Order: sequence, then C-alpha cells, then structure tokens
Amino acid sequence: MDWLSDGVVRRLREISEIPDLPGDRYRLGNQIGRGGMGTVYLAHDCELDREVAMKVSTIADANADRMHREARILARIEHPGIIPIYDVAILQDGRVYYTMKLVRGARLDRHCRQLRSIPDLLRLFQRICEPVAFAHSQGIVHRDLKPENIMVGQFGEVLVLDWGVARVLAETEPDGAIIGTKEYMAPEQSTGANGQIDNRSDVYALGKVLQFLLSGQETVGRSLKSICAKATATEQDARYATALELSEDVGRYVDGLPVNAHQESIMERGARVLSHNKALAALILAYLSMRILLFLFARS
Amino acid sequence: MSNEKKSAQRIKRGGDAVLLPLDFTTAEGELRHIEIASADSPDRFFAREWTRSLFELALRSLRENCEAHGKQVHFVLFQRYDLAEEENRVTYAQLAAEFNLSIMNITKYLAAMRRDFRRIVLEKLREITATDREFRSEAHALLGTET
Repeated sequence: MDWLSDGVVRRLREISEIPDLPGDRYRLGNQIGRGGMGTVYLAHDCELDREVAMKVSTIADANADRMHREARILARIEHPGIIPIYDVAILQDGRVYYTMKLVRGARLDRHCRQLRSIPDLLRLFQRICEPVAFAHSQGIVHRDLKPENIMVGQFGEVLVLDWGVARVLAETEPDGAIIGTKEYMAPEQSTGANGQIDNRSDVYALGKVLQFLLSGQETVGRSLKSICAKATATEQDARYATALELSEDVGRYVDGLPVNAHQESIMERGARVLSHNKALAALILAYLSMRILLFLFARS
Repeated sequence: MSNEKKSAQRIKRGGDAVLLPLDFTTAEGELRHIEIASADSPDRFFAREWTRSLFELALRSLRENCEAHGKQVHFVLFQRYDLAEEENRVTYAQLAAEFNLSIMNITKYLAAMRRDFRRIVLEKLREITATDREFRSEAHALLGTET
C-alpha cells in the first residue's frame, strides 16, 4: 500500500464517519455541526421533499444509547422551543441516527451581541425559560443549559437544544457521574449527587445564563442582581422552585413590579415606580416646579 | 487461579501486544514523506501519524479481504475514488463508463467499501487497545473530532 498523503487520510476519516443510510429516503448533505456524542448533517428527506437535520452518533457505544434516549425524550416534550424529532433508527454498523427539524439561526452567545437593552435581553431570557419550564412540567431536567445549547432562529424563535444528558426524574440514576458543563453546573451536579438533581438544578444554570446575558451591561439594578443571586443560590431550597417561577420574577422586573427575590426599601420603590412611569414622573416634576415658581413669585 | 496469575504476568510483560512486522524498506520510504511539521505540537504530530499507520493497516486488510472474496473491482473503485488525491478524483459517471457498470452499482460498491473500511478500522483499534474504555476514547478521537 502506498504512503497515504494528509489529504487522503482526511478523506478516509470523512468517509469513515459518513453514515451508510438504509433505503433511499434520506440524501445526505454537508456536515453542519459536531458535538460530544455525534455529528449533525444536513439531509434531504426525499419522501416529504424537505430539508432536515440528521444527528449520527460517532460510534456504536454508550453515546449511541444516549442518543437513542435523547430522541425518545425529544419525542416526549413537544414544545415550540424544542426542536421536533421526525425519525430515529439504527444504522447497520450499530450507530444511532435521528432526524429533526432543520433550524437556521445563531447560538445565544453570538445572537445576544446584537441586543443592547436590558428589557430585550430579559424578554429573550423569558423565552429560554419557557421550554425548560415545559420540560420540568413533564418531569424532565435538561442538566446542561448553557448559551451554546440555546439557539435563536432567523425569526427570533428560541430553541433549547441538546437534551442528550437530560434526566427523567421518574427514573433513578446512580450517584457518581458528573454530568453538565462546569461553569453552569449547580453544586449538587458538580459533586455527582445525581439523586439530588431536580428542576432547581436547571434554575441554577438558567441563573448563570441570565448572568451571562447581563455581563455586557454597565449598570444592573439591585432587583435584577437579586434575581440572579436567588437563581444561583448554593442551597437548592433557596432557589426558585421552577424555571416558570424564575421567568415570572424576571417578568415582574420588566413590568416595573416588585420582584420576589428582593425586599425593596421605600426609596427603591419610589425610584422603581418613577423609572417605569416616565410621564407621571414628568407631571410630578412639572407640578413641583410650578409650585416652587409660584411660591417664589408670591414672596417677591 | 494459577493460570489467571500467569496470564496476568504475561500481559504485564507485553504478552497481549499485537506484533507488527518491522519492514525497514517501507519504513525508510515512509520517512521520506514525513515532514516534521513546525507548527504542530508533538502530540498532534504523533496523533496524525498514528492515524495514518492505522488507516494503512486497515487498507491492507481491506484489500486482502477483497482479493479473498473476488471483490477486486470494488477495491479498485475505492482506490480510484476515495484514495485518489482531490485533484485526480474522477466522477461516478466516469468510473461507470470505464468499468462498464451503472452509476447505481458504483454507488453501492463504494458504500460497501466505505462500510468495510470503517469496520476494519474499528476492529484494528479494538485489537490494539487494552480496555473498552480506551477503545471508545480512541475511536472518538479518531472518528469523532476534528484535527
């Protein structure tokens, strides 16, 4: 056998990865992504004449099982913020693949650079909380929420991706394995106490995502800081119980209402009311100015 | 029990190692091709050369398998298409005309060759790794990440 050039080695690696799809339903296109468990390709569904995304596990091993599980979880949680799955199957070589809706857009960490105002960022954050809250209502915890796993579509739709390590709360899981991403991982996750993981572990990660979104802002109000602090509290009991509670508190902040995470003083309350009622503030200011002027005029 | 102990000692001495022939002629030939990449770290360089050796071994096995099962044409097609340098790669239609086969058959033969190549690579990898964990880690490094 002749010596293999770098180009041929690269080609052999590529063809070793390409899934040998059974039948002629799907026509494989270019690779569009790559993760810890597998590779995502663009594919054409010849039966329905539409483009889909196809995720294929790298080898037939525990990751392939995990991908099969991910497919089943995705099928269970139908929500506009979760990419719908179309099909799952096993290739001849034991690898698992599934097809899902093809979504074009940008990852949250890239998309949020376009957003400047805190209310815009917070509204985006609330839309991230929606699918997570829905999954929680179905007894599923994501366990790996981070900006890289959140996508914003071309029309502003928010999608939470990568449910491969999600935990079904009804199923027992042995302690020990540490699952998630260090920077966004709740303390109970980082110790491998898998039995303790629940909705509040995702709340912690969402709190970190919120901090990430606000990291470019020069001034962040105390109430908002308190929301972040409550979501990322070390003690599980001190956090919001669900993603919905967290989202609702953020919503109260956006609407200029008092938030549950922060006990505000009278001064803070006044400042909040005035900052959210600019017309009222202007009227009060005009009234006070008028009174002062009249007072000064009467004295002269 | 005693056999297990002996076996363990044998493995410790390298008794489970896969023996590869020392082919100095080939080795010298190969050395002529290897450039010590200046920008590459030694780890990256080693990984690339290790992949190359593994693929060469797998290709040798694949050719032997094809010869043993009368599939020489399959292998030649594989060589002409997948083992060709990018600039010399012919199209499926050209191969079909040259070998007097339908494009569908070319597609099928190449798909079978690629499947066999992948299978042999993983078999070779399993032979040279000691544990299942090591195998999985190497397989992911080889087939699951970009270099």
